[in-house]
Amino acid sequence: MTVELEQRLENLGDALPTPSETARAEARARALAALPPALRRPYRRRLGLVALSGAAVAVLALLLATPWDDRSPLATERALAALGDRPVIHAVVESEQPHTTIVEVDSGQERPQFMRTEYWYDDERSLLRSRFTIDGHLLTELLQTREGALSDLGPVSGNPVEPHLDPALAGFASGYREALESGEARVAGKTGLDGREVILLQIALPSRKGRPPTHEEVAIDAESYRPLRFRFHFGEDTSNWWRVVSIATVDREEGQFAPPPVRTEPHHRGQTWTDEQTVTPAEAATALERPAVWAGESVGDVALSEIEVMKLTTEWTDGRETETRALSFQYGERPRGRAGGRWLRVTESTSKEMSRFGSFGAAPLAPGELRLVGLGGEGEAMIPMLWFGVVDLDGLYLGFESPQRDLILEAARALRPLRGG
Amino acid sequence: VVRDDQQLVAEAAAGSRAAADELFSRHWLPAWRLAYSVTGSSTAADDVTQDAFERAFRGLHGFNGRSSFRTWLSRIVVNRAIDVGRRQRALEPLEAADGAQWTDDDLVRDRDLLDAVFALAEERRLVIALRYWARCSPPEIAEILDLPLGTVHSRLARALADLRSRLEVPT
Repeated sequence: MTVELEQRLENLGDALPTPSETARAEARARALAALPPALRRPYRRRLGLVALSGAAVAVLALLLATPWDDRSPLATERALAALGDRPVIHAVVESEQPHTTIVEVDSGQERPQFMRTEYWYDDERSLLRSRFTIDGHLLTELLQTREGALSDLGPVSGNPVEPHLDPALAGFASGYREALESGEARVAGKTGLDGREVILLQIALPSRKGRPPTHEEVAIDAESYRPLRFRFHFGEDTSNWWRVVSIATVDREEGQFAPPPVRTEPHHRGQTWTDEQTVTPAEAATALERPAVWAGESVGDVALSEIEVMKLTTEWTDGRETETRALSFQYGERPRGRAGGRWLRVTESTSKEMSRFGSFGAAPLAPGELRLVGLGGEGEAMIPMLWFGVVDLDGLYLGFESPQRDLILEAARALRPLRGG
Repeated sequence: VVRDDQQLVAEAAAGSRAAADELFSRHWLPAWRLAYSVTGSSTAADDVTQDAFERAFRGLHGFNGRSSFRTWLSRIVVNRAIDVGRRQRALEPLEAADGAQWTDDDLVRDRDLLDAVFALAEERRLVIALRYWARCSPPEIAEILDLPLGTVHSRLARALADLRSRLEVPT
């Protein structure tokens, strides 16, 4: 009977009232306005006039210098013709911003990794299938249909680890041909890019109620009329540029939009850290299921301020909960309520599921390698404000977090066994 | 390409409004329903959820990543909802239907259950709402309510027993 009652309670939860759209829109606007003001992009950056990449500088400089008649149906018609007239668009695209960087810790040699997305889009049937790879290694697959989205991790809705289609890519994949066909693609200017003459198209995208207007910007070759680059404008924000490696239309084929095979192994749904206790280096040395490592009493000019041991509870998609222990080494003080500061946090555990940025679905790291991810919002003008690093060390899984990239590199180089007593 | 909440929080704290917007979209409805289940009022739930998101986003740098964003946000929602609920004395059982469309036969039948939940003592109603409506695990509930895990289990058991007794469901 308890099971029946519990099921009834769950069903009742699904049937609770839903809030009004007005309440949602108001809450959303106020929540976004409450983001720490120091971190919001200054107005000049929104215009993209600060610290632009070389390619973008060329694009913008010429765009500003070249007045353009935006009634240029010929350009959009030619762009449409260049795409072909078969029902399915098949394209390979790459973000110009590295997804991750692999660093050989000893030599300091760095190799940026770019995520490549191959997609098939059938406009008539509203089907979009995407495969995401890095250096040929499959990260994840996604199939979006009118009914919902499926990935190799299962249904996307309600999945706490959601495969996510970048909005720049989503807008381009689903909006480019449609905008050319409908005449909604507007020629915004003409400029140069990588030694070629290009035409800039602007495509307004539908935005959800209560969300800021969005549009896609597409640079097409002025001779072949094939798309070369695209990026996304979301309200005041601008994404980085994406490169079009190849694009063509193809015929429909069986299995083209088959659901991705679901990975059979369970994956983690979420994690909680509890029971934190401050420990001495000697206690930390034996706190895990295997001997711990550390980066020493200081990293660069930042001294170790605290070591904590904590319980890491992992909840799995098959309903299991597993527990392990983790160590956290805090160097310097992380300022409360604002970004920046000079500090470093190193966490380590024998659980490879410990949340570490850039590690989900990625190829295993070779010994001596560090995977780095920088986060700093969107657009080429943004300098990463927070860095995350990942190292796998003989059964220990380490994560690094710091506003300073150099501190993570130095800590990774300094890792050594933590001797007890 | 695969971004969990922790990554979105980090991106939002580093200046990404798109990441913040994604966090808002993911958690708005569950947070609102949690607020509703504590206050029993749509209007109060609107206010509580709006306030909770503002507080959460304003304090993103205070989020240390050791609990999930959902747990952290739920804690803010619950605390605010308790304050508002107590202040407004809004916990009238009939108000549970405020804004809802109870047309489906099953739902009409479960009005009894809804009323029974809203008639529970606050501490028991909270664990029921968190476990079955917000789908939190017992360790997450323990963290949200700042209670020992054993207390969460015992409150859940008592709340279910209380509901069975009110609904005259045999054990």
